[in-house]
Amino acid sequence: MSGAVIENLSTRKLCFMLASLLAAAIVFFLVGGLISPEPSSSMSFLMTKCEDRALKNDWLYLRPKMNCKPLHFETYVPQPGGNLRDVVFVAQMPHVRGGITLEYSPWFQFLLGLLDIDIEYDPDRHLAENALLQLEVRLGYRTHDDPPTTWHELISTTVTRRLDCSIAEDKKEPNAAYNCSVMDLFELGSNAYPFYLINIRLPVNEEQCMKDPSGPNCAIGRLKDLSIIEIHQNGGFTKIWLAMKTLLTPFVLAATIWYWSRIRQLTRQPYLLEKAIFALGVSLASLDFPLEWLSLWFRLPFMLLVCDLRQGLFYAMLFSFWLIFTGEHLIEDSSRNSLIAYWRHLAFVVVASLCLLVYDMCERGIQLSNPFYSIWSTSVGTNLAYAIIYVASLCALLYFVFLVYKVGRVWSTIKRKRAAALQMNRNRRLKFEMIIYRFKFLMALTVVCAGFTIASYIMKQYGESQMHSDEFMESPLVNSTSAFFTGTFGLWNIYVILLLAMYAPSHKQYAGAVRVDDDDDDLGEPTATEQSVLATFVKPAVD
Amino acid sequence: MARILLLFVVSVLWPAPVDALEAAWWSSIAQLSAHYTPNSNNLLGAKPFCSQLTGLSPGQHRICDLFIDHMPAVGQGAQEAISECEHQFKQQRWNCSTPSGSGYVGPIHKRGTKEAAFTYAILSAGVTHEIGRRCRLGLLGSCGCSEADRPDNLHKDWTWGGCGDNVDYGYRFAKDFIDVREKEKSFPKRSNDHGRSLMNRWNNEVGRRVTKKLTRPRCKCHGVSGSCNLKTCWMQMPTTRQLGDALVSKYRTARRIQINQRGNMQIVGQPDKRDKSDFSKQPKQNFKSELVFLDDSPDYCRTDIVAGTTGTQGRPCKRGSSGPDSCDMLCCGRGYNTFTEETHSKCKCKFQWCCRVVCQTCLNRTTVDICK
Repeated sequence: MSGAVIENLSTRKLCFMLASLLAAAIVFFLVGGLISPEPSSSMSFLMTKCEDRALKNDWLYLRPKMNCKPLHFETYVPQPGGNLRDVVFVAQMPHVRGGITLEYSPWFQFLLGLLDIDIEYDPDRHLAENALLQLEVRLGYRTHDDPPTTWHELISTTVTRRLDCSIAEDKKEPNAAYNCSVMDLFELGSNAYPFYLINIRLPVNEEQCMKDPSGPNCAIGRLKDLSIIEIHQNGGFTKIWLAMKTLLTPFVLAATIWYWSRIRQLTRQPYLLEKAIFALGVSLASLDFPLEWLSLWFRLPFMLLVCDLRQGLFYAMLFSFWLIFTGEHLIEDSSRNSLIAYWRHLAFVVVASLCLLVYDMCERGIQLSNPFYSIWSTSVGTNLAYAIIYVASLCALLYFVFLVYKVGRVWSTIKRKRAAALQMNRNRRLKFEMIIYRFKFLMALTVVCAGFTIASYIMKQYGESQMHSDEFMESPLVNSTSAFFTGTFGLWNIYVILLLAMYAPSHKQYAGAVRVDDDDDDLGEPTATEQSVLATFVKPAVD
Repeated sequence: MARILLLFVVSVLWPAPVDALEAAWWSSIAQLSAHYTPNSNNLLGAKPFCSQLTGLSPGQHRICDLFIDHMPAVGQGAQEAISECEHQFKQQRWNCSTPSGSGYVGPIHKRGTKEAAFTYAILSAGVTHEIGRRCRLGLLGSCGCSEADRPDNLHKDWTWGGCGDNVDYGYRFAKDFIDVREKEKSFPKRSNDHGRSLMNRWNNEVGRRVTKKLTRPRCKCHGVSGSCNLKTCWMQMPTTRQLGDALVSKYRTARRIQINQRGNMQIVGQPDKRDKSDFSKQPKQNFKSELVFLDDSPDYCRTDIVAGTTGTQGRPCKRGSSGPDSCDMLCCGRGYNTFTEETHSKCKCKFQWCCRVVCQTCLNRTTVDICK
């Protein structure tokens, strides 16, 4: 491989560059920590129970004036021939607060609904383990132009969920509450409407229940309440996030284009490593591209999926790049410089990403047509999802074990070769030292970035636990969730930009090229610079 | 109409002097229809609604007028607190001094006993809990988010960073509404009434704090492919049973206090640390969540309207039990009568659907022991 920019850069310039990039990274963390609100918030809705025997499906709503008769299970006596289906659970989102009817905004990006079920212990009503809950759900929306009582149907469907409830043996007395885990209800990939309305019915087929007591809604115990918990991204966080992306995109694009033009100017075919760095640049540019602006004006439910895909692509590229980079620096290895040589190693990355892709397509992909779909609702789906996730995790684990093994091998090679290098002639030794330096620089950079990411992740977890501790302590870490997101996002952008800038082929290697960059101002006395750089970086790292 | 009649009956049943009136407002509020909703017009139009509630202090009256839609929640909360109190103390001599199932707060408030402390705490916890619950129902317009005095920016605030917590709102409302009556009257600094007022406020606060403390976060991971790098939590309120359990254990470890020269509360039994334990000046973390009481409890054996106890006469007890519900303990040594009772009870029940259970009726013959 020809000499890269990094080998020809003076120490002073490198230090200056690293310092300014570190400052930029700190700014990213601070923006998240000081300006941005939490990434997401939630709102909880206890559903109002109404009786509705009408077979025509009119919308039942709570505001402006409740058009149904609320009922209470303690006193509810169903009419003869009635059915649990006559009970409608109603939630109108969002709430009224401070006398103001709040509304959802496209800035919220997504809307996630969870279902929380309250079941009371009753010796007469059996709650089966893993009982099936069947819901007839209707999700409606209203726009600003509609009159306040007009609702349009977004989707109407019947879904099943599996209950996961438990109660301690010694607490089993009337009115004691079961402890049930929260179920996924729906997920909207965009938030185009200001108001939503949910009507849920629980149909029971008595005849079928006689035959099969574990059928849907046959053994769900004494139902007390249903609640919906809605989760959305905060508008403030979206603003900060989009601003960051918009700001970073030109830089990443410029760096990628500049890098590719450098490669194109080479007289030889680009090496695999160079292609890998370029691919990393492209995947980051696509991750950064602020496509989300469109969702503020158009209804784009697929935005969440696209977002996932772009992130997945970037991670896959980053992991592959690390493998290729380490592989290309295994100096003894002769089978290099082609993707085929890496197929066994890359298989881990490919399988893991494919698994997650399949999972995402099965979950968020199908949710595009039916927001209430969940792969976890059926036992087959649950098993499939678990299988996919286990395979992906196993691949990721194997990948990291393998990567560590490879890095270890490179280190031992370097050690061995360094002893041998003393006998080499000056030119070869220098070239060899270059390769070592290049490797170590990236190693250091990667370790620093990964270290920062892990440290901020721990801080985020700590901050989140602080937020919910008994004493409401005011800690600066409480607001660290956003700082984690903006900080790490900025950090990995800087990482890739630095890679593109530093590992581009240097002008030094090809004659006749127009020197446009100030990177190689020092070319007048190459040896001196190289030696000084080497002396600064290689020696302390080895000793 | 029936409600007013009931209230009348209550006041006849307990024609206790001034002190029992303290509790009367709870009883009258607890009788509010639990199923009232602000959308039903029958109460909204009727202005004298708040006047129907006997025993409200002027400050409470004002809040009632302003937040009329909150009153059924206060009532429901009080009612649930009372039935939880009955559940927790069903085997004790003191059984909340309420005729079972009536939803009245008994006349226990004359003395500043442990039991009074518990009652104040659980009532205030019940109100906090129910207000928080109703916020989630979407029927109380003024819940959560920001302080209500600047609703102009509310929409912007919400879009930017979300809303506050429902329990906090319940806490604030319960504090304003329940404590206001204790703050209105000013007693001489060393009088008994002043001490009672301090004690009540303290125990009210303990009840609200317990509600807040038992409110636990529940979280959902929803990052890329459902991973946990993005996690959102919401606060889940405790059940009334959890509140009752927590407050009963506080009842057992309640601390005795006295009022010192300066009119501050101090814990009895720590003479060497007397100055330090003056905890209105130096709030200690561990005292803040303890129930406090001023007076010894009576034995609750005999009916004594003046002392404010209903007695254990007529209470069913358990023969052969060694706990507080044993006939020896419960009947205070007065002995008991044994009856044979035939009861029709449901048995061999079959679940049909949500709201109906079809049972056969079985005849049970049981012996019941009733305290003399």
